[in-house]
Amino acid sequence: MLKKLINYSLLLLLLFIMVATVRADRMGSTNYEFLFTNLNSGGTTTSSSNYTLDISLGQTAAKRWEENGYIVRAGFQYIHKLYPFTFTLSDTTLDFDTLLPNTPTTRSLTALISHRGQGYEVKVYEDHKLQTFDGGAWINDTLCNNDPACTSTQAELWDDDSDYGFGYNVTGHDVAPDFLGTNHYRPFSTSPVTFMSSNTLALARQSLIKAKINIDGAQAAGTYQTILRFIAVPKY
Amino acid sequence: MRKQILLILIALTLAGACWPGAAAAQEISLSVIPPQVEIIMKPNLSLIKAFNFENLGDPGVFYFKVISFRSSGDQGNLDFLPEAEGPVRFSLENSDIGLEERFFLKGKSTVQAILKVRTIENAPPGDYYYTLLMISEPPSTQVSAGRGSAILGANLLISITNDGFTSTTVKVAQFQIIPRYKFHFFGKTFLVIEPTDQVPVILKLANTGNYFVAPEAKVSLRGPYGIRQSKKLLPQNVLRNSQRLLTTAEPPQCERCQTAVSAVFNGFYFGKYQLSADIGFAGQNQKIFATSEYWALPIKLTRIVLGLFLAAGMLLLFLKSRHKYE
Repeated sequence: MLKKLINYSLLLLLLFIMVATVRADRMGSTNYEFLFTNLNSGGTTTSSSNYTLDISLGQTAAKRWEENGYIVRAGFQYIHKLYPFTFTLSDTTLDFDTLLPNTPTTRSLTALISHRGQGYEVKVYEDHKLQTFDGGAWINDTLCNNDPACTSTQAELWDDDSDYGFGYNVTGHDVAPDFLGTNHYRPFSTSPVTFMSSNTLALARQSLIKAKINIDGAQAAGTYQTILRFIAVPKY
Repeated sequence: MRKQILLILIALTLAGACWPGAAAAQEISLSVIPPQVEIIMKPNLSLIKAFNFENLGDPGVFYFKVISFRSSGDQGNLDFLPEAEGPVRFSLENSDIGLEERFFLKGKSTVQAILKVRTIENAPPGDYYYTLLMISEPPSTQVSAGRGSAILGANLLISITNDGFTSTTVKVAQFQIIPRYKFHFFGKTFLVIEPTDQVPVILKLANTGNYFVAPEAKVSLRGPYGIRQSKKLLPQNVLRNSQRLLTTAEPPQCERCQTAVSAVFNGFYFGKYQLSADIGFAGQNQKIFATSEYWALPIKLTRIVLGLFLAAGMLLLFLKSRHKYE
């Protein structure tokens, strides 16, 4: 019994000695590879009066192309760290409760952007007009005061309570220049339209989006809804 | 009596548990890293790239989708297409979610989209542009409402090439200052500014090739009395078949400009100035040069002086004629 125990112990000891050092290996197969983004944290730009040198640690080597047939670069060449692109919507429901004829109702939310790359844009579109669940009745998109009529890309004045529809106004940072004031509105479009845009880095850029509905006395009773989609993307 | 108290307590507990609390706004806050990826790859190949999406707001239901985009305008804006087009195929390698499959994500938590990018066999060489979107599912409500959905995108610029080389075909689309005055003499146009004016410069590049480029450009100003000034512009991507206005890292501040500009020179200027642009491309010997010239002349002052001379002359004539009759 004791002899067996000694033998097993020796065997285990031998196994421990023989175990090879673990080495990092390429992850993947012949078809694919797990690829990590550049280690740009050490990258910097150095310069003197005669030269400028951009250093980016871990930059994918040309050899990678020969071996694997691809090169991947992450982030922006002129930014030497990978920063996240962040988008915040303060609320996801613009709840209009009960709508009364000739009584405009507004509801607001804020959009906030943080991006250290050069530029971003925020777009909005609606899935369809404000409509009842069965689609049998709807509230038209606004034409503003119709003097001239506003369009999905051109905000116009909408302060006349006898003009009906559904639209939005935006105020704040980097807002499209056609929103001249808090009474200038655009109708929502069914294709994405930019309302906030910048070509420079954005640190906590914020806008207030105010949606407005005004209905006439002939508007059919019912619950009207649509989905408003807010898209934030970095500029390339 | 004890039984009654117990019943009341149970009833109160149940009522407290079931009483609807105050409705709170659902905040959606999303972030993505990396926000952009550039890939050069051969046809009939696949690779995997991970994107980390973080939900910094309230819990919600989300899904991922990839769509194509085109360049819009000359300032890096995107024009989305409804679906992903072209010879690139996408799928998620995540074990629990696929593209366009809904998943629940808690607040203050991260999800990694492990995106598999595959180019089809015999994919035509050239660039293809996509955006990976993380889309929040809109909340449901029983009242008249606009139900909001937040969508965050990360761009993928994919260049397909057989040999690893991406040719560069770029030309200068516009290079000039925004003048205060324009004069036409003998078929030539002279751009003129006031000596104290800012000098706003526009440099737009047109990419007529099949691959995007990130030009490294420098704009220089050379004038009399040894005046030399220069500004380095950011190497921003100019996508295939598009134009882009290159800009400095610091946003150029121009008071009298109606449009976006590349750079603004400040100072006091007088005489004739030459503006030059020196445009290079990383890893290539190819260079593009462009020049433009303008004059800094005191037009306003000249007008005032001429006006004063004219007024003085007329006054003299008037006084002279009055003196003659007296």
